[in-house]
Amino acid sequence: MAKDGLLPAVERLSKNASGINNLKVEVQSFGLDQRLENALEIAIFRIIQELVTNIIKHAKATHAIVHLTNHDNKLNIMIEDNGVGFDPKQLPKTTKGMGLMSIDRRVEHWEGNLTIESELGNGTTIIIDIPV
Amino acid sequence: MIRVAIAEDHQSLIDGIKLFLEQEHDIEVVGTANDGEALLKLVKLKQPNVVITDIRMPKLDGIEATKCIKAILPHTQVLAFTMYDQKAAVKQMLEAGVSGYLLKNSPLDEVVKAVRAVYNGHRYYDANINIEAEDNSNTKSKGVLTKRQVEILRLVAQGKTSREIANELFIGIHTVDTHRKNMIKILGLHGKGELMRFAIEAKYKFLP
Repeated sequence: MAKDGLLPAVERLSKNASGINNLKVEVQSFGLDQRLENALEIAIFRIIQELVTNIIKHAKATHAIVHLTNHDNKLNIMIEDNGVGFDPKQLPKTTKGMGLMSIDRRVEHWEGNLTIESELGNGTTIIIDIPV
Repeated sequence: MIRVAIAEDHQSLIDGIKLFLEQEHDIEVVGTANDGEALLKLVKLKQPNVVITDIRMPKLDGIEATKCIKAILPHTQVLAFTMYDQKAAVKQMLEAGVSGYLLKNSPLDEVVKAVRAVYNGHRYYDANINIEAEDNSNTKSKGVLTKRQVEILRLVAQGKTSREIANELFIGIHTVDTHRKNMIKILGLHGKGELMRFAIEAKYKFLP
């Protein structure tokens, strides 16, 4: 990761995650040919890793896409899955909610923001914007 | 004699090109077609040296038709003649096997030059498209849209708002908005208006 950069690491992650529980993970990236600050790359990778782990553990999804789109002053990370979804309002009560809350805190630390869109039965999308 | 077939869904344009080409002593138009299937039949029957084809045509588009032509008659040269100047369309036609790519705003003189060039085994590209840039863009970004993004574009083309699109696709409105913003970036467009125009012109159909 430190050597190759964020994108190859995320691609490797998606490859490794594919096949587990019938899940297929794809990566769609744009404009990530330049490296980001090392600490930020690692932070972003860990966040994506955790979100993909969430999908494997909880979502019962067959398909997930990790979008990484560089908008020059910010990086947009969007992870969509076609799993069971959940009611985002119910989150804090569950342990999974703890995970997402910790991600939210880390995103905030980098002055970014996180949005969760999910509905029971209709998959989940996590959207993160982080200034770069 | 260069034997040419023309495929184009606008008959008046075919008539114009045909009339013009037939003034050239070394060019003969052996047939014309208004859709991709008719083109394939024509090509099998007449085995032209050069095929001038539009991309967007009924039944079978120019991309698929070119692949078929190159498969059955590898020595037939195909020249794309189209209004689509965006990278994805050029790239797909090149991958399908065209030897030349000309935009429809070119003068007919250009068409004649292009026909002769591809007949002689050269490549011929419109000055207004950038072939070099194609190759670079390949390595940097996949530059493609996901199925979901294409679905969103289809609905954008129908004039639907992000909320309506969100409801229709059972996703969140922020997801739709983020896709729209990302697509504007990925496609190199400027603003929502351009994305909508892109969608309406259905250019996304030619993205891989």
